[in-house]
Amino acid sequence: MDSNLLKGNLDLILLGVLEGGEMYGLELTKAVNARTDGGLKVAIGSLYPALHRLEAAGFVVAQERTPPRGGTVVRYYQITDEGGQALGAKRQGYRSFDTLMQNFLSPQEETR
Amino acid sequence: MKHLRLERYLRDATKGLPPKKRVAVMRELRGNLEQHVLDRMVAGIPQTRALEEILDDFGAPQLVSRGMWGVHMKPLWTKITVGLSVLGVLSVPLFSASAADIKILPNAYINIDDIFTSLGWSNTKVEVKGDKFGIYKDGKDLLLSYYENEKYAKYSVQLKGESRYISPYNIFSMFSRYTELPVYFDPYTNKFSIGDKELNIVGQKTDLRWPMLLSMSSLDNFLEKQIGKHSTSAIIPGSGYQHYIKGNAKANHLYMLIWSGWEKSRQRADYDRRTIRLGMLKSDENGDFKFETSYKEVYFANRWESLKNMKRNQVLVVEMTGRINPSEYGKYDELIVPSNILKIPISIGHKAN
Repeated sequence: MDSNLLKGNLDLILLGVLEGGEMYGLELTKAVNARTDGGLKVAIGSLYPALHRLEAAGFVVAQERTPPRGGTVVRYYQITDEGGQALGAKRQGYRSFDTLMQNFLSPQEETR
Repeated sequence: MKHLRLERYLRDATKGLPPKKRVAVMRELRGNLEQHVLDRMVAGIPQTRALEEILDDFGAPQLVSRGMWGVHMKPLWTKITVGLSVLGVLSVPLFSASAADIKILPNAYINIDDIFTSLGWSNTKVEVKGDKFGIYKDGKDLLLSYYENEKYAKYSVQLKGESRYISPYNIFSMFSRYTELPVYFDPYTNKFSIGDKELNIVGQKTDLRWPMLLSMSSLDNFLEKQIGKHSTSAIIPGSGYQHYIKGNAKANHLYMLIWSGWEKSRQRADYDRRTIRLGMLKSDENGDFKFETSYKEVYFANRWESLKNMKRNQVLVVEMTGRINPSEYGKYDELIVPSNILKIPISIGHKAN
């Protein structure tokens, strides 16, 4: 899959996963993987900057906590009300785009 | 979990962030890496191998650092630049006057003095409390020294010479070469820090922001003028600086900025040896331009008159059009410019015959 497609929709994907509850980075990547049967893999180089960007935008809040298995603390991200609204808007935007794209998914009929 | 490659990854992935943010991001990445490792260990993979595999999966740390920089530092720079522009600070025509006269090449020279303003840097002293080294600029000389008993007792490096521009950026660069610790300059508070130690600037308190901002802004102005696109810029201490120019990249269009300077040396102050450096402006995968500079010393062949005639502290701006074939950043041995048609052989790291 073209990585730009994933990149362009990363916020939608992350917010969509966080809608189901708070998670930290690794859990998020696993959730994306599971939800798409391994079809989408979020690159680490994109994941953490994206989470920080969403936090800066007020779409998620983060809290440092020790994960259940112990070790160094991780940041658990939780979607905010604003994030929920943004997610709705992104979903709507994507659907509109997808509808338009359908026009290009079949070969164009020749006109004579 | 301490592991050399892991520590290097964390350091590189957070490069350019202010110290507090850097520590926080390092902690987050470390925590997640540890959980990845635990996953693999549960599957029976030994810890060291698990970590190596995960670091391979994580990819280049620069991907994280660039992304994090874009989130945490770019807005700061934009705010400062916009703020000072509103105040009229950046409208000082140090460079713009020159830019108006620039002809795009092959023979457009810009004096660095026009780009970098010169303020009174004499007697500016930067000291690192608690560490045994510091930088002291005394008139024409720049001293890198060990710090003992409240005095600069022993100088490790002394750059003697003619009066020249010393910017905060130069100072970061000097420090960056001497320490693995993150070096950071906060333009809001006008303070340097190295690692978690704050540097006090004593002596003549010059506003450190202006030269840096003016210089970056000037180069921005130039690029914006030439390319007609919005541009933003950043200084990333220790790793050169990068410009991102948002817009539709013209795939076959590339600017090369070459500037002359003096050789940096850990061992001796030998800045009379003439070197040139390259900056490449090229399109990235998102269709934006990216301007990268290289710290590698570039020795040039004498076959290109424009390079041969360069004087110290000049920037040569080359507009290359047509089909351009620059190889990867840091690896280009030869730039092939078939636009009626210059072929510029440039070798990196050794003197060309």
